[in-house]
Amino acid sequence: MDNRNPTETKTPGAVEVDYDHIDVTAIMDRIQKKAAEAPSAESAPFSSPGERSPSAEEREEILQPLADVGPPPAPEPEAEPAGPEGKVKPLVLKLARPFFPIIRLFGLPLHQDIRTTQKLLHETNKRLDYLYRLFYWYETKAERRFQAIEANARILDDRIEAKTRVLENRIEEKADVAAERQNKSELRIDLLEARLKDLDKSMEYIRLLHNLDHNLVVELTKLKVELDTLKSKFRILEKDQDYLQKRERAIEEKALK
Amino acid sequence: MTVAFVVQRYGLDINGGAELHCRWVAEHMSRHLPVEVLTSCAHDYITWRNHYPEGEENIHGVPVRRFPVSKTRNPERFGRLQNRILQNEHREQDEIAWLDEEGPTSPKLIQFIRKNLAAYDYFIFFSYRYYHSYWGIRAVPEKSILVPTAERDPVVYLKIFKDLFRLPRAFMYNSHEEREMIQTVSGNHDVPGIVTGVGTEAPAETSVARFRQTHGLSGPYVLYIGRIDENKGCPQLFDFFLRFKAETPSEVKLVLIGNSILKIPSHPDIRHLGFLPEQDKFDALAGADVLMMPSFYESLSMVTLEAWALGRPVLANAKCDVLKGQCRRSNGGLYYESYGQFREALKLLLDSERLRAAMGKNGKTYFDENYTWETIENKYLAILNRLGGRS
Repeated sequence: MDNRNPTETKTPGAVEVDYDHIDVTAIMDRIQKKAAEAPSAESAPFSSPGERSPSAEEREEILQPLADVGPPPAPEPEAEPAGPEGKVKPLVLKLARPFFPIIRLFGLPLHQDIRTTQKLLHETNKRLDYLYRLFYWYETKAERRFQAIEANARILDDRIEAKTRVLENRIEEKADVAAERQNKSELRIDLLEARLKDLDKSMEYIRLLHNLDHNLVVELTKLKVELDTLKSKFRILEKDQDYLQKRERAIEEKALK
Repeated sequence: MTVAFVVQRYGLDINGGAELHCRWVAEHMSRHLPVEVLTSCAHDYITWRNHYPEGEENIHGVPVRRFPVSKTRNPERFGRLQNRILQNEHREQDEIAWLDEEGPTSPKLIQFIRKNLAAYDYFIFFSYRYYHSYWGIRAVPEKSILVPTAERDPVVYLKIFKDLFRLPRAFMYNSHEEREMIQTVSGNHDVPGIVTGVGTEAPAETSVARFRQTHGLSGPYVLYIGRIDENKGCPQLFDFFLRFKAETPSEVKLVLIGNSILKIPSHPDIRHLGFLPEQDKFDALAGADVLMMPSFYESLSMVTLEAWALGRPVLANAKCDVLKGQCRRSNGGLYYESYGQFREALKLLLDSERLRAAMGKNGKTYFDENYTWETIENKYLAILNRLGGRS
């Protein structure tokens, strides 16, 4: 195991963790909160650390088309005035040449300061000009993105609307189909109820026939028993008859002797 | 007591989640009971074309009976059929037609189960959504146990499965979320079921230095293991990782292990190492700062369990409720729903070694309590005992 970041320094805004009792649900709640607070790449396109700034060449390329739409160019350092003023100035300078050391001694530092300040102001002006153009570029880009998002939102709205219409139509169609089916089902239920009534009648008949069958079986059984009794009586009578016949013959033999 | 494991494919060179799950469970249960595997001759899960010879063979001491697939799957037709049933009103017959197309259609396997019903005490079916489970469970509901390996995809809501989930004697779920989903779908609260999952065995020793040397890796890295596929959420992972790299000064690299079926972005901090042997995989896992799990659909992520077995934290996609639930229960990983959350969570994990260590420890404890093979075997034995007692 490596030893990277062994001290666990706490960075500002970091998710706090109780290392002795790790609770993933609690950690995830904090992470979700933090993720929700952090600006997403889409909502802050220029402040996102993931988006690199344009390089110098790219900036030149980007700013070139905007050269005409930026603020007026910064003023250049004042040039030598033309006309009579321009003619007098060299003459004065020529006449004053012997006094130049004294003038330089007292006036040059001030003049140089003024020149330096003017140059600095010019540089600052140029930078401000550049920053203005850059700001304008960002603003234009943001505007374009905003327009693109709005266009997309409109397209999405249209789509959602179209989809909603389609779904509503489908729901209506389905509702019609369902209603039709319900009607059919009701008709079928009526038919089934009628058949059920018929079936009830049939069942009643069957019950009656069953009772009749039962009674017939009972009667037939009784008759069978009676038949068996009669048969037995008949056999007894036959036996009695045989006995009487034999006796008759015996008596006849004795009488004839 | 003899138990038959019924699965769509089976073999040493088959690494699909449910199939590997079945093989591991069958091999471990064979230490306690006589077991057999009933499967198809297919090797390829796209077409189910017959590849292995029909008949019996022995794999790691487990007898395997293979039955031929009578009809190969036409992926295009299957796709059309699936779209039709998922997006339109349809009848139950359409769902049955879809199931026949889903395959692997092996009527001989179902006939064998019907004829040899008495020879087995229980049939443990793996993966609810295939032909063998649907018709197999209907053939022997009184002896069937289902390991559904269900993901939260729309197929689970089909009518035929609603009925199917009420038939088995018991369920072996992969996760609490899977149980909740199936119970919600089918209302089978009265069917006994326990959350089991699958065990794994991490090697006793791993060598991070060897892995780094072999692949020329230096510095911190996060790891993804698995098929590099759109369905596994890899495009989103690439997008988020590249945005993370652009926004932060982190030196972290993304290392990918597994076969790729999509284009990987060309970036110096994304390294694709291809399919690696098991030992290399564990070496890589042991050295990773975080295991990335960007998948949207998982019934149980074995690689997440392996990461926890090695004490490594996980950063998972919260859109997959199983992974989110596992992270919450274990306190062994964080999850994300958006790029903002991804950035904050990964940053937090990478910046704090203490947090990684604590989460890795929590993950290891969770793994030891729930996913060692001893625990898994005991859960299977317990459910078999509960159903019918052991002879």
